[in-house]
Amino acid sequence: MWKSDQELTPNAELELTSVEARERLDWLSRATRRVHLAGTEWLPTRRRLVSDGTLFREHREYAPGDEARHVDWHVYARRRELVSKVYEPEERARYAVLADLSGSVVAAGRAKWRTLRLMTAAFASVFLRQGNAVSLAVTQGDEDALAVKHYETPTQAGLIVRHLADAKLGGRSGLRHGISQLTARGRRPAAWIVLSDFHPPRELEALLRRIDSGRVLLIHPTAEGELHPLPRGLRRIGDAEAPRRRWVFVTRRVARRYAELVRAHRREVRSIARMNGAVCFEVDVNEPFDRSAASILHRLASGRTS
Amino acid sequence: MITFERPDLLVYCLSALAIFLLLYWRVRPRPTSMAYFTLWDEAVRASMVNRALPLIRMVRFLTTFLLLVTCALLIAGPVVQRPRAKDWAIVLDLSPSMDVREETGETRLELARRLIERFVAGLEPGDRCALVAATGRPVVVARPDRPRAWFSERLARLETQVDRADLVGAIDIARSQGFEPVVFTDGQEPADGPELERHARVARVGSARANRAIVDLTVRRPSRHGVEVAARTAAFGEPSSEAWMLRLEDPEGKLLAETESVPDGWAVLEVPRRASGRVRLRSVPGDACTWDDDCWLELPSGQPRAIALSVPAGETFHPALNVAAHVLGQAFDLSMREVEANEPLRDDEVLVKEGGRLTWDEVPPEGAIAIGCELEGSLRPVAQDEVVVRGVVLDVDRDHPVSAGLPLDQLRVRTIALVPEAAPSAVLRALVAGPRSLPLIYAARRDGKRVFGTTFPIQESDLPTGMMVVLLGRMLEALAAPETHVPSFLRAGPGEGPWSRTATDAASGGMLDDDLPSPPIEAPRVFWREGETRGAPPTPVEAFLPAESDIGPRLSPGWSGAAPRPRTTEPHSLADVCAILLLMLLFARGLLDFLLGV
Repeated sequence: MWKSDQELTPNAELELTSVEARERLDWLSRATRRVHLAGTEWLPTRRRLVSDGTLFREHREYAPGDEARHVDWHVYARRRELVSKVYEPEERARYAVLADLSGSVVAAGRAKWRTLRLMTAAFASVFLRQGNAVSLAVTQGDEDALAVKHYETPTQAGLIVRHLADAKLGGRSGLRHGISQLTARGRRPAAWIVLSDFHPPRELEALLRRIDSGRVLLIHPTAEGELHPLPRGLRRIGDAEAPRRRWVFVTRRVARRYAELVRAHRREVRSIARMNGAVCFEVDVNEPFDRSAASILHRLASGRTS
Repeated sequence: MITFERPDLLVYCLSALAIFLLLYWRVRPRPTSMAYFTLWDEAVRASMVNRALPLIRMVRFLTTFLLLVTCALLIAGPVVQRPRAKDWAIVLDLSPSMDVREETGETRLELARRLIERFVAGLEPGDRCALVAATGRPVVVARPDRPRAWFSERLARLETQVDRADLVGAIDIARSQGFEPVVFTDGQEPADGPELERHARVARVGSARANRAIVDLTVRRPSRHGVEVAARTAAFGEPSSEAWMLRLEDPEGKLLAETESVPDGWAVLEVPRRASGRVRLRSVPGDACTWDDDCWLELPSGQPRAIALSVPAGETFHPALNVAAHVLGQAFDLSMREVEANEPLRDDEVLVKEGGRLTWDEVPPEGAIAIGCELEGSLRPVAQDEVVVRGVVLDVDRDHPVSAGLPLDQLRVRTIALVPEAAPSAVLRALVAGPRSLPLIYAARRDGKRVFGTTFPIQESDLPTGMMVVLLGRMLEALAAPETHVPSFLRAGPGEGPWSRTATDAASGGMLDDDLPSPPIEAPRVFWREGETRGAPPTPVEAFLPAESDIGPRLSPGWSGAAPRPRTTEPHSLADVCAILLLMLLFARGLLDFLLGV
């Protein structure tokens, strides 16, 4: 870590577009540049040749049929002979990243939704800078369709940050609607990274059932404070994702029961992930996001998924 | 009555409270958005507190509301006006007449002692009593600051004196010391009477006296239905009471009307419309324990009293007639019923019959109204060969009260169903006559019974409902009004009492105004002796209600004279009560929250 924990801004205070966030994303990319998931035990997928590449390898004599843009005109200016540039062929995998910024995440507090957004940016930028393609789908308010964008080159990492920063907060959670958008035009992501609070659990089940290929990684940001979100007394609460209101009287017993139900919800998420062959990580929102992301990537690459 | 030291603050606080209530109901607190709403649903499902949440919210709201209201009241400084305690002076007549023994065996002094004990026991808390012995030289025998036992002891030791009692002097002593005088006397000091009643509340013990007679009487009919009775009374010797009034009662003693207390001279009594027949006029003194004079008289009836509706079996009343009968029933406040054929009628009922045949035996004493009815011996149905159609009004009797002033000359009748019989046994007078002088609307009379009616069915005429109402009403009034306006005074039976007289006595009489002859009125020939007890028993001690000593003289049995001065009030702060209430509410609210685990 290039800074101590005390020097880092907590996730809840860290703006995605800030200089510090960009520096920490850059640090994360450098720290994990050799941590490739593709080809590991968790993701034994073959890399796919997607283009002739962009990295120069050598010159060869021009042959009819070569594209004019590959002719090295500098050499022609100096030596009056036509040579074509030959590039390193590029191979890359496609990662689909789904970020849930729905009402239930936002209602859980600023630390949670900012951590989720930073983690999304972290994973997407890491994968992109490793030369992979990233398809990013983010919930957008009350609209069922997700805001989906596809990123192909490492230079587009900044656009990912902009995409996430512009995402609408709140609304319903409809991650399963993004599956068809992400797999359109024959795109077959090698891995799906889903960041959400996975509430209600049946949404997670529906999502996992619709993913027919690729490995699934679930990132579940959690906080100790969400076990006791309300002080005791008479409170009026509303559903973050539906127009429902009610009065509750929070007593010690009700608060204890609610904490038990939240823990049961987390266990249920893990259970659903296990049954569907997905890997689930719970992330403490109070931990620095870049360290959490690096830890998850290292564990995945080393095959420690449990 | 609760008042406030700072009412403006109360207004401000209550306004703030009203705004609070408005905001409470209109601007509800913004809900806290919850990520796991369904988990909350599940968490509170097993909670008893949340099941009873509406009740708990209501209780908490009420306690909060009451707390705020109590605070507002406390800030405004509530003050209640409580009656100030009074110092009474019991003036006891100790004249020799107080030794007279009544029929019960007690002397008037003993009666007065019991009465005083009863009066003192019924005083308001905090009231004090002084005892003034009214002898030739009045003296205060018990001061108000002495205990009640002392008062009772001194009262028991008082005896009558040989000289006359100076009641006025005793009252002066009481008033000079700021006491409220209450005199207990047998009223045998006539010279003191007026002075006494002007300055003190007087309770008369012993037999009552009355000596005011009705010496003149007039019955007037100032309006169509209203009746006034004017009477003049005169006292013989010392008047038994300064205040007196006239009461009109029915034979059962139920009050029909009464005058306010009036001075000497004519008193006019407005008789309610319902009062008719045999009534009793009484002259009553102010204490209302006895009466001075009375006479029986019979007032003329001013209106019908009941209607019996009769229709041949299987038929119904014509709607216009039905509406008219019900409108009149409500206007005159008459009882109304439907009767079957041959069903006996009451004496006070007017029979209204439509169709069929009416015999004179069926006609009740009050009379009958026959619409299109064959009338025995007077009207018969039209024969086949003498059908009378298109009855056009040719003559209207403008003098008869039934038809006077009505536009009956516009009446059109399609068929006349009845014609007079050849040898009528009854007097038949056509109020509205048609062709061949045939009556369309008539008045018939036989043996003192009267019948009004029409010779055509209503459906055979263009008589509108409004006209029907008016016509039927006039017929009812004509039947109800006596044929002669001379009220017949009734003779009183023997044993009505020495002062009970009737207007037919030689001693007195009734007089009618207007053009009616009236018998001369004379003063009674036999006067009762001054001071004579005339049958009225002594007022029972139980009738002297101390609480009623404050009210008007004519409504409280036994009491007379001037009403005591009204009690003044003194403010008493309710801040301590509000503070206790506030603490109790706070405690209740705290206890509730503690039990709920807040």
